[in-house]
Amino acid sequence: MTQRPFAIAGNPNVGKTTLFNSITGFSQHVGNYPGVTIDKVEGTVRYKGGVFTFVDLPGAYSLLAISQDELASRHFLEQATTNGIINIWDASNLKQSLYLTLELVEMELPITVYANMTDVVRSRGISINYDRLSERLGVDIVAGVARLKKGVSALMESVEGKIAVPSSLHYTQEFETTIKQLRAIAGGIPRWQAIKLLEKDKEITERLTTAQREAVKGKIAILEDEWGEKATRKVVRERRAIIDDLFDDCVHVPERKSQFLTRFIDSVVLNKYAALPIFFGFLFLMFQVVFTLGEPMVALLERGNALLASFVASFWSAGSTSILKSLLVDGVIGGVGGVLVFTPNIFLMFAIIAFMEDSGYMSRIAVIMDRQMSRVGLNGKSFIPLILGFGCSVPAIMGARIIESRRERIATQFVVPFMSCGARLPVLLLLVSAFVPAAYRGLALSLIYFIGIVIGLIVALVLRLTLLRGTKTPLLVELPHYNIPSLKSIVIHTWERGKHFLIKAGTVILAVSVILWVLSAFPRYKAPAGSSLPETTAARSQLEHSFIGRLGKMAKPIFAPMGGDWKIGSAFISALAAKEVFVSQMGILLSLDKEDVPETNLRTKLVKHYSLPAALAFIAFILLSAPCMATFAIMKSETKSWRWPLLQVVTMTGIAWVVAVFLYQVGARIVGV
Amino acid sequence: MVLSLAKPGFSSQISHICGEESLFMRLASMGITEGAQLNVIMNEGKRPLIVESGGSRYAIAREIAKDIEITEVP
Repeated sequence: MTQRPFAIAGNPNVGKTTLFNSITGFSQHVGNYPGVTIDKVEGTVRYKGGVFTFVDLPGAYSLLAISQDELASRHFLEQATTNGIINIWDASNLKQSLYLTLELVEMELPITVYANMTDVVRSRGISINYDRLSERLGVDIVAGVARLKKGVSALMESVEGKIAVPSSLHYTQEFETTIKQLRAIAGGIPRWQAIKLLEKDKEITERLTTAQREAVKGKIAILEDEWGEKATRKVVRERRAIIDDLFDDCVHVPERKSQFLTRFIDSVVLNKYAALPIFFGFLFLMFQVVFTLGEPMVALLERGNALLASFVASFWSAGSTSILKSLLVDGVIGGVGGVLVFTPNIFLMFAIIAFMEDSGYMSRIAVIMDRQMSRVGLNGKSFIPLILGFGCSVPAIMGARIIESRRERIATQFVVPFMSCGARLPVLLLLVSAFVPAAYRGLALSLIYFIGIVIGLIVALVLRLTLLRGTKTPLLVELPHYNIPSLKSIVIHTWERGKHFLIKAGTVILAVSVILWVLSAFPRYKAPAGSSLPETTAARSQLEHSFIGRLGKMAKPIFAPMGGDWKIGSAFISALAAKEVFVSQMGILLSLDKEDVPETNLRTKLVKHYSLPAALAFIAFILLSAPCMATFAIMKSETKSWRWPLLQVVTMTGIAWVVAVFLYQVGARIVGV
Repeated sequence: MVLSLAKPGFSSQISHICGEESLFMRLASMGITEGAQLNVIMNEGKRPLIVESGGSRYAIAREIAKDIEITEVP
């Protein structure tokens, strides 16, 4: 028997999913509900002997059926199959959160409020009287910080008791009378539906009989005449009056401190002349920091990795051909270790992105880049997901939900993977540090990112002129007050995101490394009877004889024009699972290649095997080629079609190949390889 | 007067929001409605305007600002 679920509802980006995860832990699955076409994530949790089910609804600013998500959420709530609603607020943006709350109250369903981001509220010196708010709204309010799991047990306590249906908030006498009249005309519909009729909600209107529809239309026309304005505006005005009143009564915002800081910083970073140079300077600094600060740590980890490899190898006699030794040293340490040594760089990148978000600078980027983005048919908001893409494409593509227009959203999501992500960083760092002199590495890295941005924007422009044609939505964003981020919050943000990279290294990358090792160690090569080959020749023959060797050779015609051999080919093919695998794959292939001294690191081996133009071509190919499996999957689920992820793979790989081949062919002629 | 023509430092009240209802609703759900106080912070060239209202700060594209009518509040 399944329990009736609690629905978690709130605006986009208020930490709904974070709250959902802190409540349900790992017990989630995707549920399907009758009459609802959109998949919903559902999770259960045991608390005080009871079993509680939670459903994570898509984020919505209002319950007006404008987007598919909003309509689906409304259907779900309406069917009254819920035990109650947990309405999550961004307490630091209360006026916006309250708008949806009022609509939920109108539906007369049981509600409990979880006020999230109360740490931000406190750091801005804002004080909110939650008791007073709770009393006036007639709902329980639990204040907390979902990210830190604060207030989650208090919320469970509230859920475990009975959630109350809030006593209806009353609008003005005149408006309440109107609602009553409309309910009667439309055949006794619920209160909220009458209000939606005034908002001219298509879906609700279509539910009426023709006669009712005509009567409602007539009534609204009379009312609009009487009010001297559109009914939609009247509804908004009524709601806003209550929200403003609640806000004035229960919230105190200090004037001075935060606003002074905000005015000062904005006058600099949004300055007509300085804005762009400051922004690009900041990005350049970011890549410098990622490289120079990360470099010593990487060197240390590499030495540790080499020591570990020789330590493990020392359990076998020198020259042993043990399969287990090869699996551990070449497969696991060479594969996973090769990726893990780049952890410092990836964490630094995530930390800087967390700083941009927590400080409030991130939303300014929408303003700074608005004019540039409008040249490719998007508004400045689209640049925010692109910056997030420097971390990881998956959350970045989800982050593009902030873009209202579907066509602009898909165009943005389509080009997010052109932004070089954290997983590509190990590959870029490996190749850059192997081939570029130390002094120019930061610059080289910036240049690589810049090329990704430019090509991405060109693709966006082409899409907006062809498949995703349409008028551009003008920019409208809230700019939060600046806030000096606490070290603790940056550490938590960085860890939350960075840990996925470590988990991936321990799971996907480990599995792929072992599989790749198997593919390169089997089928075993048997030297012709009687002949005794030197060890190096035997190892080389083994590699060429293996599955991966054969696969790489099959793909050789594709990779030869960019200076690649079968090893590079097989590394690129494996990188489709996750980009970091390229590093592990090269690590495995080159460490099996016993021609080298085993202690030399991967960089030295690479320089020995490949020329500079070839390295540039590999960089371009890894930067621009098909995104990883996870990106493909998220593209499919976000656009609800196979078309976009497939087109993305084809377009990106095509562009990557052309650019890589061009770089190699031109480079090789200049250098004279 | 129209918001897009207001100089920085101008303090005003929104008197009317013209244009489509969808724009009205979008602004309203963010807290920008008729009757709200509005201070202009930046207004340069073709870039979005920066305004303050109800303790919050917003960036508003010029195309939208052309649809917002304001009256001066001394």
